[in-house]
Amino acid sequence: MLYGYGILNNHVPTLKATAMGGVSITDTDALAFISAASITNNTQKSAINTFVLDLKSASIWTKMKAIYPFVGGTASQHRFNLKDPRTLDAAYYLNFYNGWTHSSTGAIPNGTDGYADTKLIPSSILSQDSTHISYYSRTNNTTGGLDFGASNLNNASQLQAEIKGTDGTTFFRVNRSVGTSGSSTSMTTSSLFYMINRMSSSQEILFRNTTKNTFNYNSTGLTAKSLYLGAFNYNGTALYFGSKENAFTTIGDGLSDTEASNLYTAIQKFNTTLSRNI
Amino acid sequence: MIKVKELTEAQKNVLVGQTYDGVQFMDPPQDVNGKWILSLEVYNAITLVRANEIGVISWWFTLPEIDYNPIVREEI
Repeated sequence: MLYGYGILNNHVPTLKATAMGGVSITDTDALAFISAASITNNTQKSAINTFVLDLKSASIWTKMKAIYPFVGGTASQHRFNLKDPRTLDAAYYLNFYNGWTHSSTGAIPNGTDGYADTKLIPSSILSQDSTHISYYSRTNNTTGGLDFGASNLNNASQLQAEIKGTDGTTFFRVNRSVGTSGSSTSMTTSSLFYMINRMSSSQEILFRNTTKNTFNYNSTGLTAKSLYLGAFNYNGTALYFGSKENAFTTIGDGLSDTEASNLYTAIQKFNTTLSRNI
Repeated sequence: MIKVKELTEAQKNVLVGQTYDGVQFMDPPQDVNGKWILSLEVYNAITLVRANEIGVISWWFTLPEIDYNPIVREEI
């Protein structure tokens, strides 16, 4: 039962616990998301509550700008940002474009024309030397296509990744131009927790589940174009369409090794609870 | 080979900004040959009622089907 909950004002009453269909929701941010996204399944509600508490306990919650759990199974539910579940561009409420398949396991872009606009503009909200994006991919393929990203005209500043391309490698840049090569390494699978990260001006970091690789490339700037999921936003045009099922994405500040490990653990626990872990 | 529907630029412009299911929008991209395309997933998701609502019913069923030739990322 909700007690005078006003979603329009993002107002959440101060409650120690709110009973929702027999599940105790103890976190107000979790409650706001569950209500906004019309989550009715008790297992999903409990998983969301636990996830938020885990991130707050690990001091990661405040480092997040957008969290897309892709929970609920429909396009309308998958649009919501757990960090700010208002239906506004300013809340990074997703717009899905063209071909997507939505289910209880996540959201799959079709690799032909499907993409989602986060409306999150890195130059407005992220820091050049403190940025991360994660993508929990449930698809193992080598069909290529960028899985997320954005760039200004002439690729003067890119934030983008291809989890696994046709050559079997990953390819990414975090807040830098195409003046230097993309960071790249061989991938055994594209079904994994994939995270690119920058904590300094001189290095960008790849996490594959909990395995870390460091690449020495200097940052050069933040793109002023909004981040797309399932494709690459090249100065306002969607290109290089990906086809990997997304079962969780986070966008935010750069994370320490411990924080990255804690984020992986929390997301893996969430997806295990929903029986969609890889 | 993946098949897609080919659109004229004028047809593409009619679809941009419209939803095909009330939630998800249409924004047809170009293929490597500069042709405007629409995936069959989207094409098949549009109901007769929806096609009529957005004013495309007169040409919707005559759209040619072509092979999909994507723009491939350059190694840069």
